[in-house]
Amino acid sequence: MSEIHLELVLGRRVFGRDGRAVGRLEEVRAERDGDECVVTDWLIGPAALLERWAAPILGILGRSGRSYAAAWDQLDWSDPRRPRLTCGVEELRTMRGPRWKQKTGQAPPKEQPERRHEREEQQRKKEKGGK
Amino acid sequence: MHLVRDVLDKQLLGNDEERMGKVDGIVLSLRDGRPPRVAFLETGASVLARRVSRRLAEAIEALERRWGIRQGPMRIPWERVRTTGTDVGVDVDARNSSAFAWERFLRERVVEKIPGAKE
Repeated sequence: MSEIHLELVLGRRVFGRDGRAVGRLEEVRAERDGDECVVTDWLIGPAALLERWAAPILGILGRSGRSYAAAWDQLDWSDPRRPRLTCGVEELRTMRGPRWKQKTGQAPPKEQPERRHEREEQQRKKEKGGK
Repeated sequence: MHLVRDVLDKQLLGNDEERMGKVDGIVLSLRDGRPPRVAFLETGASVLARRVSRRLAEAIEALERRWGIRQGPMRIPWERVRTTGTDVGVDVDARNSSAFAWERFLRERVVEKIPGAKE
């Protein structure tokens, strides 16, 4: 068991399995589980920074890069100075800012990313069952 | 809950709503096959200095040890955290904790030595 200091790894570049930078770690989602507080997601990229500032409206000021929510087990902390993804970037959940609405003309889903992830998994299971 | 937005750099309030500094650091404990958990909140000058420079933090810690102020930064186990948000309420007796180590040191070593300071 090892420790990481959140304030020191904040803003660090997160690298993919191919060694390319994915974005910077900007926020960490956690939830209380009894007496414990456990990490659920690592938020990477500019949209995560806006979520940290609680100011998603600022997203309309400029085009932001891709932002992701990585599940707790999708980051490898064996080297805290260089966190790496344990999966491909395409497997991460994408965080969508206000610009997404402008591009698609649709409202973003109201559900939380983790709920969306569950729904996608259920759909996949259904498809597998149907075949 | 967002750890950076709702906890880091927020005001720490002790048992009696006494202000006892800010949350300067959050220690996450990594566990095999289980999600990381928040182990401690840290507060103190050396924790804040560590963000700027590790050497500066070590210098402050060495000074605090040498002058007998405290042994390292104050760590508050997550189990003692009552509330988060605007302020972080913790189940700690602020006055008797090491959060007030510098205040105690200055009162005993400096202020009380000023002529007329003692009643």
